[in-house]
Amino acid sequence: MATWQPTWSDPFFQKGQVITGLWNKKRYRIDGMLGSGANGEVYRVSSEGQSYALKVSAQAPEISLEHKILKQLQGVARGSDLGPLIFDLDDVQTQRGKAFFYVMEWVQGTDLPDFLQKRGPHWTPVLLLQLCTYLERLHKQGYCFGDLKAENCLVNEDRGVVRLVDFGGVTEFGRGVKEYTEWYDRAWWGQGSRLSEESYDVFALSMLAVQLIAPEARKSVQQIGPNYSLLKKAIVSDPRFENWRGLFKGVWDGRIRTVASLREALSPLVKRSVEIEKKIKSKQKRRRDWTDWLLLGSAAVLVLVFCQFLLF
Amino acid sequence: MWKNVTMKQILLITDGCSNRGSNPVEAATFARKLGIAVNVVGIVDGGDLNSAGRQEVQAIAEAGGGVSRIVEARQLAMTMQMVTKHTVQMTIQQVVNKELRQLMGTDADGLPPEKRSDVAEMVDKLGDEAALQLVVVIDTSASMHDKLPTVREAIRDLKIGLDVRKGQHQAAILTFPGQQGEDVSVVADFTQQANLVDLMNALRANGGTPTGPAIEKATRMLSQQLIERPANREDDGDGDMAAYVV
Repeated sequence: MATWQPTWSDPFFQKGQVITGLWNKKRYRIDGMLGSGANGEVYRVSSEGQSYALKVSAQAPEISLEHKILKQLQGVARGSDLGPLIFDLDDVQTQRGKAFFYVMEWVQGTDLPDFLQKRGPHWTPVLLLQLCTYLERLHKQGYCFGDLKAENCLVNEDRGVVRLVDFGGVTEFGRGVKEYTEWYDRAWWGQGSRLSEESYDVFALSMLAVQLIAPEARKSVQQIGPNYSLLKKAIVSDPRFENWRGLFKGVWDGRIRTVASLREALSPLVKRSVEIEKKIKSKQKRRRDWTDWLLLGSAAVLVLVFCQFLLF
Repeated sequence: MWKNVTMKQILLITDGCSNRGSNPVEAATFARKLGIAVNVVGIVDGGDLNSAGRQEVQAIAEAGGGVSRIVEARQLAMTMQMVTKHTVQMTIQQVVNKELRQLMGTDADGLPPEKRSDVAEMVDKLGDEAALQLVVVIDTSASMHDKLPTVREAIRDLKIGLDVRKGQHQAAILTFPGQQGEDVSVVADFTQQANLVDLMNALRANGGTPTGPAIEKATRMLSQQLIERPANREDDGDGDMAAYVV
């Protein structure tokens, strides 16, 4: 019964390959790989002219449980965009043997760090506030997101709307969190258990804030290992965290353990961000007006010169 | 009914081929006969895990009815938990499949995908509730020296993971070769409540790789428990479920 899965094994599918589900007989063309992890691979696929994302794994239980949870979220939160829309669930024969997959909406967007680079760090509280809304809805259903991290969020570049993309860590409350990432894991930092509960996600969200505000901190931690008191000191003395200290102190002394209290701590930061964005917008407008005049002026000169040529 | 059943596992962590004492594949075969599953995690970076080493890792797990993974040191913590959980679930899945075959003439993979999720949910829940006895067997041969800090971190992480299971667990830690040059030594046995991380800090790496004797020692520790156990088990209305768990 031993399953042999060396980590360097070939991917399940090749680009351009067409696969057919064993039960539902739906056909998908593989358009490329979107990502891979310990529990499977995600591909961009197309079927009847539509693009989707397809998650495949050698472990049937992982795939069917994840599909069940996503389906449930879709049913309860109809019309909302908490999870990706869910379509097919099927088996497929691959060169590595029988594999199991489900098909979901292909969510497109920019990485959070890239987005902040382009639009400015004042967007950080706005992005986090949106994540609070998603988490609140998920918690209402009795689930913890678990593997909350920058890589599992995508943001629409024009509208600044965040979506969560990988639901592999979603765990029923009261169990051990299924998937997690060291930096965001409170147990790794020695700040609590790995029990799936609301406060687990709240801690991960606070670490996401650190990651977005001071990305270099994570690199130094990789060398020295988890030292939460050292991290606290760095946050207290770093000017980039000036307006965030209230929020972090709340997380540290246990006042902020629910998404609602985190949202409350975020709201003054969001207000400030809105002011900054307004200023940027009006500046852009002014600049555009000025360049518009320049453009119009040079066009008029050109026309005059042209007319002179015609006349003489 | 699963509350009375204790899953028994050996988790072997190594970066090389055995070179001392008895044959580890035979030791794993014997463990399996006693209802003990043997999982193996091979670490690749820096070590000498050549193709012979890789094959041995695979062969031990196959003989021991467990799973094997070959990973880089940084993936160790996650992998140790994954294989432990996976093997608990696989053990339950095998029993469930046996019953499914009797009832419906197919195992879980033969069910339509939508129906399969109900079975998966049940297996997942049972796996979390089952009691677990685990012996972690750590290669401390010379080539492991640089990896011991990572192993320590992974053991700490394993404990965090085990603590949130609903089922009870007991863990013991062995090293091979032993700390005084013997084949194998017990760093922590099942009853010890001491801080595992402190114990691990004292570990030294040197000498050869007596993998076989280490698996044998772990098997003895787990099977002693097996012999002692029936005495404190009174409410056994469901029949001897331990007989299923092979």
